[in-house]
Amino acid sequence: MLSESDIVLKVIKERRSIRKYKQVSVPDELILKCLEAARWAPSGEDAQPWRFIVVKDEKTKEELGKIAGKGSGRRFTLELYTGKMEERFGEKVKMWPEEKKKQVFEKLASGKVSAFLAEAPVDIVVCAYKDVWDPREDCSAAIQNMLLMAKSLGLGSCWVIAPVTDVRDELKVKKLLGVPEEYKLVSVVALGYPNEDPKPRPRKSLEEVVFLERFGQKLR
Amino acid sequence: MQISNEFANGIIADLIKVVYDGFGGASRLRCYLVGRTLLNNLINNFNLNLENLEMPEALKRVLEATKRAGIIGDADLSLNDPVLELKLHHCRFSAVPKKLKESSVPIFVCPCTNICLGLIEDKFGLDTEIMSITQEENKCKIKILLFK
Repeated sequence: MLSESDIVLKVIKERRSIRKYKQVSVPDELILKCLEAARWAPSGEDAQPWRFIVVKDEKTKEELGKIAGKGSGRRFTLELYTGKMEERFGEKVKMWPEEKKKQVFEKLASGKVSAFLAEAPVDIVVCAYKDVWDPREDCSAAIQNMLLMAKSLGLGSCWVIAPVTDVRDELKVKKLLGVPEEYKLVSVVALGYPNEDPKPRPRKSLEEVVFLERFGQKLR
Repeated sequence: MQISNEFANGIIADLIKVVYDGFGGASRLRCYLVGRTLLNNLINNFNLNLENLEMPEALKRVLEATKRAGIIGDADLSLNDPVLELKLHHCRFSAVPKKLKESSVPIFVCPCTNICLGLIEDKFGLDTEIMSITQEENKCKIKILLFK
């Protein structure tokens, strides 16, 4: 039998960013369970600045998908033009056949990696009340709780910043959803039953990311 | 009492560093609206008539107005579709990038460029991204990618 810590680590390690969903609606009780996990996240001074907008309406999701797709499409196209796309993939891109490189780069520049918000059964838009100490940090903790709960319920999820990271896009989404000025948008979380089973992405080793006592001092 | 350019630019540079420390690589995306409200001020204050103008001509008029407003000394622009290149000479904010360089903060925001982006997006309906901002002596070169 797995210990509590093993179960937690298993859920953490098996969570994936899911971009393809079965066209099956998600029961409200599961959505609410994810949101329940979110609202139990820690927040600076217990501010609980998060507000969540559950979007199921097809037209609204379509708009979110459009804004997200255009935003990430612009940014990746820019990377193509400036040569930063190659940098993003590091050494491994040199090993890729031209056809694969073209496919990957074109997919990114098309914005499809974020436009899938239109097809996810549920999009949860995470807003933060601005006038607290750490609105983004607090909401990020809530989002991670939500992703882990989704995984444990057999749902797929994806944390998407594409429609809100550019202030111009954020304003469009705020207008679309009627978000008041005193709130900012942090992210959108897509939810649904997964229709893909992506492999885990490589992780940096503990040695690379953990230092002992001082920055740069190796752990072991 | 008048605030000197040096003092104002120092404060702007400090604020930009704060943005960079908070938003990191996304800072450029968070600052696209900085200075953009000046576009309407320029249009109103200098009675700019931008109707029926092609984009480069409209941009030239707006840049001319920024000159008359004392924001820049001179400007050149060239369009090599889909890349628009601006050269801004003797800008009132030119000390800001120099100060940022000393703090290892990349140049990711330019109010004059944002004025132009506002015009391109609002009047001509194109999306834009800043490709690069580089500074040499008293001239800034800004490359902008246009999306149709």
